[in-house]
Amino acid sequence: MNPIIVRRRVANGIALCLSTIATVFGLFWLVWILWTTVVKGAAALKPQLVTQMTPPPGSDGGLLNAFYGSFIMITMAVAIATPVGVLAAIYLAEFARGNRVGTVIRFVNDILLSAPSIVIGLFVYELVVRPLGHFSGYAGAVALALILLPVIVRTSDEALQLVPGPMREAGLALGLPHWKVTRTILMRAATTGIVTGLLLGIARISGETAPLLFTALNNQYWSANPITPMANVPVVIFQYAMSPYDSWHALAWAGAFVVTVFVLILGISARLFFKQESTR
Amino acid sequence: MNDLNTGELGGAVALKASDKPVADAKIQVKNLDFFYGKQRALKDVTVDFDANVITAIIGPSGCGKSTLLRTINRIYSLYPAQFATGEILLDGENILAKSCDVGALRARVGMVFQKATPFVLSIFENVAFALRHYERLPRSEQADRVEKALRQAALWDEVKDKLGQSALALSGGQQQRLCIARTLAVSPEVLLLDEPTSALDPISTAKVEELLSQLQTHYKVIIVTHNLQQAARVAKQVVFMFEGEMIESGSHEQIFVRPREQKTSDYVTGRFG
Repeated sequence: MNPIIVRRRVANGIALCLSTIATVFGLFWLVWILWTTVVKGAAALKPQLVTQMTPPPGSDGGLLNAFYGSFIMITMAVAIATPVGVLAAIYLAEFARGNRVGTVIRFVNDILLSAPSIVIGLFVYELVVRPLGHFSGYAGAVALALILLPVIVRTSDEALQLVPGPMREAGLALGLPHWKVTRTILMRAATTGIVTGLLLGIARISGETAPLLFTALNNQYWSANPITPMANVPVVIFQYAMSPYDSWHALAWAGAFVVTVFVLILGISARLFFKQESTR
Repeated sequence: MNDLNTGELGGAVALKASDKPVADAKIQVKNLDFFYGKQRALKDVTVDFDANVITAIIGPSGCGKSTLLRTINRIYSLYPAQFATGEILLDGENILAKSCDVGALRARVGMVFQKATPFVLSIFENVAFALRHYERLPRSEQADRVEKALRQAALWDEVKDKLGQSALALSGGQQQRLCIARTLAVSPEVLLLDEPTSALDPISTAKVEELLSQLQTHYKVIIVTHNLQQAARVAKQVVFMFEGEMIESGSHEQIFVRPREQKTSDYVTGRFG
């Protein structure tokens, strides 16, 4: 056989082999992590998980206060970050097209997007916790909102920019003002992208631990008032996993399992939503 | 309106647009220059668009025909780097003036684009949306107006049973006629069409062309096309552009049969383009 063809086949085989090994190597750890979480977490799943508070060492309990605290803080973070983020994205995509201010804001937003979350935690500690004099659920929500905000700005900005130019022109060509074209026509066309970004953003903040350590801290007891320190799943997982008690370890695994499944569900819904909308 | 160059397809003397009295022109373009940043896309264009006839703007790709069209409703002002100098008079009023209200201008000068751009709304809402911006109408009257616009665009019979459905489900030709209906619903005086049929199949194209000839009695229609047969079929007035300049404007038999300029002759006989 022609030696050039032989060489090409060998090179092809080696390349294929190497890339397969790389994929398997990456997947191996991912599957191991998920597998451990599922096995240890599922074993620790009990009805008390959602009916009882975090227990003192040695007694039985659940994570109700942590789930509730996380839910409240994430909800508040979404309520703060979504309107601000979407409006900022509208400004960037529609009213700062191609100008310098827009470029600068996008750059700063990208920096915020990749800022270490512990820095954001410390920032909110200075901004909210110190003036108030104590840790609080509000501070936790602000920290999460600051992490969510750049994600929303980025994805909504991109979603709006993906709306075909002629659709923007067609709206304006009817004599409608730019804000009305944006609100009714462009936002509708960009909804899929914006919602997808929001879901992925929520997935991102639901596992954040560092910013909550400095802001919401934790709470062993039931606390429905966000002005007080609030329990939350990531910090409970952190503290319980570091403890010497087996019952706390089990709760930490259960918490980790629930967060993982929640993030997975968000990811899948984002995909389904995107798929359904874009094939409509 | 006494059009000097209508009804003379038999070959009477065709008059150049510029020879005619001012009153006959709906739109007068005077010494228009257009810039995409530093690039000059229109060079000292002066041309009159006769009232109530279809005008076709023809010319090779990149000659500035779409650019000329886009200045007439100032849609270019969406882009900060684009600007025009000179004058465009719509019924004698300069629309390039700073004082001109572009919203009001675009309500008078509607535009349909090459690619159909249905909004992500129902068929009904696509038409009613802009209408509601201008007029507060009771529901029933709104429905009447939507029906009228869809009938004018020859789309009513195809969509009357599914007005509530998404406009995105329509075929390409239907979407384009929906865009025309949407524009007609706000009762413009001028209708600008930028290669409206270039993405359509022959049957849809025929429907749109038939529609245009019906519309010319009520609207001033200006169509950009690179299809010479189309220009010959639908237009009474033809404007030939080349490399950003207006080369020749006249009745279609002037342009296609007895062009005055060598370049026009070369283009319409297919020597370049």
